[in-house]
Amino acid sequence: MRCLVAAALIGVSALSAQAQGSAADAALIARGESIYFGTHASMVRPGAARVQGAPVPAAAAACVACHRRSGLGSAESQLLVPPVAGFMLFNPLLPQTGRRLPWTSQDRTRPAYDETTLLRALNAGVAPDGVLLAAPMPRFALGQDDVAALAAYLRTLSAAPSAGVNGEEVVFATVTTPDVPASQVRDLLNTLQEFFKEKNAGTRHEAGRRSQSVRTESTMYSRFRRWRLEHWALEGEPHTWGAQLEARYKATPVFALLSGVSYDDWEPVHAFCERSHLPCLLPIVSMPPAREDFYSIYFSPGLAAEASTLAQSLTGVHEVILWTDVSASGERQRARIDSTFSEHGIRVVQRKPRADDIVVTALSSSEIEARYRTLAHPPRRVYVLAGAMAELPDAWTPNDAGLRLRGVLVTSQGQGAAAQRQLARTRGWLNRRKLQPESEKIASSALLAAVLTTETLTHIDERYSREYFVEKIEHNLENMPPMTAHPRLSIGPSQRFAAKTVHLVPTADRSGASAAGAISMRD
Amino acid sequence: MMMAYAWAMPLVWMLVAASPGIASAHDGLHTNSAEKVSVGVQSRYRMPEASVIDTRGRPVRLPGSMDSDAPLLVNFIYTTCSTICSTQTATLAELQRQLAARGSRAHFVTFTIDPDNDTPQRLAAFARQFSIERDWDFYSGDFKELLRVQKAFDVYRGSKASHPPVVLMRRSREAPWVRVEGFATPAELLAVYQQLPAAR
Repeated sequence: MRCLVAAALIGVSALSAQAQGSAADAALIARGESIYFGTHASMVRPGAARVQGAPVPAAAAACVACHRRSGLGSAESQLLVPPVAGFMLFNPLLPQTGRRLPWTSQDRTRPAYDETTLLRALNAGVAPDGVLLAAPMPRFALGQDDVAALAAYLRTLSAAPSAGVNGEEVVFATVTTPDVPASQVRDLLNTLQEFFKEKNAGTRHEAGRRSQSVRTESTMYSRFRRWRLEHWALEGEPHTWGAQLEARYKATPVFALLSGVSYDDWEPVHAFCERSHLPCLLPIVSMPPAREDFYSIYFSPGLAAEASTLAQSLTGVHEVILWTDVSASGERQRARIDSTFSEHGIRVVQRKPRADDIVVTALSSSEIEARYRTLAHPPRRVYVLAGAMAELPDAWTPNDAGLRLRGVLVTSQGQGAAAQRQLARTRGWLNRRKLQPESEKIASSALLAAVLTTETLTHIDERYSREYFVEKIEHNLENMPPMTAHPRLSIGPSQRFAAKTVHLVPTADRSGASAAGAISMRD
Repeated sequence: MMMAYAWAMPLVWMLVAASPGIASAHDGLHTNSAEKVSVGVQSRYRMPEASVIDTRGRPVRLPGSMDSDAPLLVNFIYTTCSTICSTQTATLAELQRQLAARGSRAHFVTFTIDPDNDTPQRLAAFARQFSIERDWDFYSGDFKELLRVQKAFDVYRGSKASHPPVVLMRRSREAPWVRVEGFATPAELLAVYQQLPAAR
């Protein structure tokens, strides 16, 4: 009996020591993280970091600025920033290990770092083999305990295999909210499913070939995985979406969210992606949150940016009439647009428009036409926020001559011949597959997200780090052949809206040949 | 052109010899090509006419204000750049301090290569991170206008992440531009600055 008690006591104390140990580890890792992100006291004091003798601000000198969240490094121009994730740094760099890892030149070999050599590298800029680190690498004034914490954090970077990927397949989900009409959900799913089907058909034998030799298994064919698409159709009110997403994710972990459609508040999905560390790639949404975080990448800031640009152009205007959908999601759009206008000192009112009024719409094109027809006195101008429309702004010419004369599209999408040229690639793809989407905006945007993902996964090879996936997209999006009507799509580190320029395009001016009369404005 | 070539050669030699960092980076152990610093006279560069916007949102016509007789230094950045831009701007800020300490006044101009994102406000916030003194303009504006400037100085590489680390300098309005490409130290930039060719 005594023995049992003693054994139990030992068991308890071992457990509590373990708990204390892991709490201490967590504290060490957290401190390391704050050094990596440049927020720790040792990084923010003046002179904490110098590049070639010149003081550098903490935000620029932080490890994360160049080596990035993944710890797998980056490339800018000819400058290769090497990986510092623990599995790379604390192992020797040999030609065969460097070969398939990002940003590592094949002929750079070095011994493994330890905490002593890491301290020397950070403070004196010397690698374990005596090689001087590249000129842009800052020199710090860190202590041995700082480096111990940093090393503990580096060991966590890109260390665990990502959920949603195994040796055979990569799983993606696409999210729609309940306000999206069925035809648009169909356009989204048809485009993505067709793309996935062909992607898988094109690689269906590759998985089998892996077994043919040791060499092929470790090199050529391992990157060919089957792609699987989940459709997460959210239901009910936005405040329940977070829990729905958690449940779907728990049941089927996915590697990333791909495309998606919503005209409602996207905040719950955005927040879910950030807290789950889940890339959320280019959903077609009109109300993303304004802030730029890490995991969510958007085409544009949506209605808020359109309303903001419009408000800036309406000099001397004190009130506008706002038309939104009569629904809960329409009410939320109204609230978002209303608050943007009031930031610019413009009041949003509700009344039957008079001849000198200005009407702003966040409606589908058919609904705009229907409401316009009921007016006894046409208003001065009808500004159409295109973020609420399913079709490409270019594809809509008002039937009503009065509306055509008074309509002005407010959009980040391109117009005219240039936009048509860009869409030709997508149209060819859709035609060959006998897909006839009602919304080319949705089909082209979804196709771009899918092609971009293919391209990016090829680049990241076997390194299925979600952070690295996002970082590669920062590079790749700008280099993609244009497939949507957006004039330029470009993001970057800490830049998450790809199209930032909003244009005002009078519908009367559109000749179809060019964007004549377009007023270019910046948010 | 021959003259420019003859002038540039001793300078390149000087940079490598004077800097142990650069020299040892090329001992064959390290292959990061961005560490090479090259210096060359570019007689053909001309500042094009362009409309840009300063950090207070005021329109500026170029070359206009850049066409003074003061020495001029130009670089290209974007504010969400991960590595090159902050490093290079910090180096130029240090050079500005060293020039001021020598009683030399030069004019600095920084162009964004990402004007869609880099509004005048964002450029101002970027500039505030560095201890920058007066005589330094940060310009944003229309994408096409900034593109013209980048092309005139051969720094446009198709996407912003591919932009090369380049500093351009000239002694005066009529003098040729000198292009420094790579990560030069403040001391190396100062050495180039002090040997800038005069107008011909």
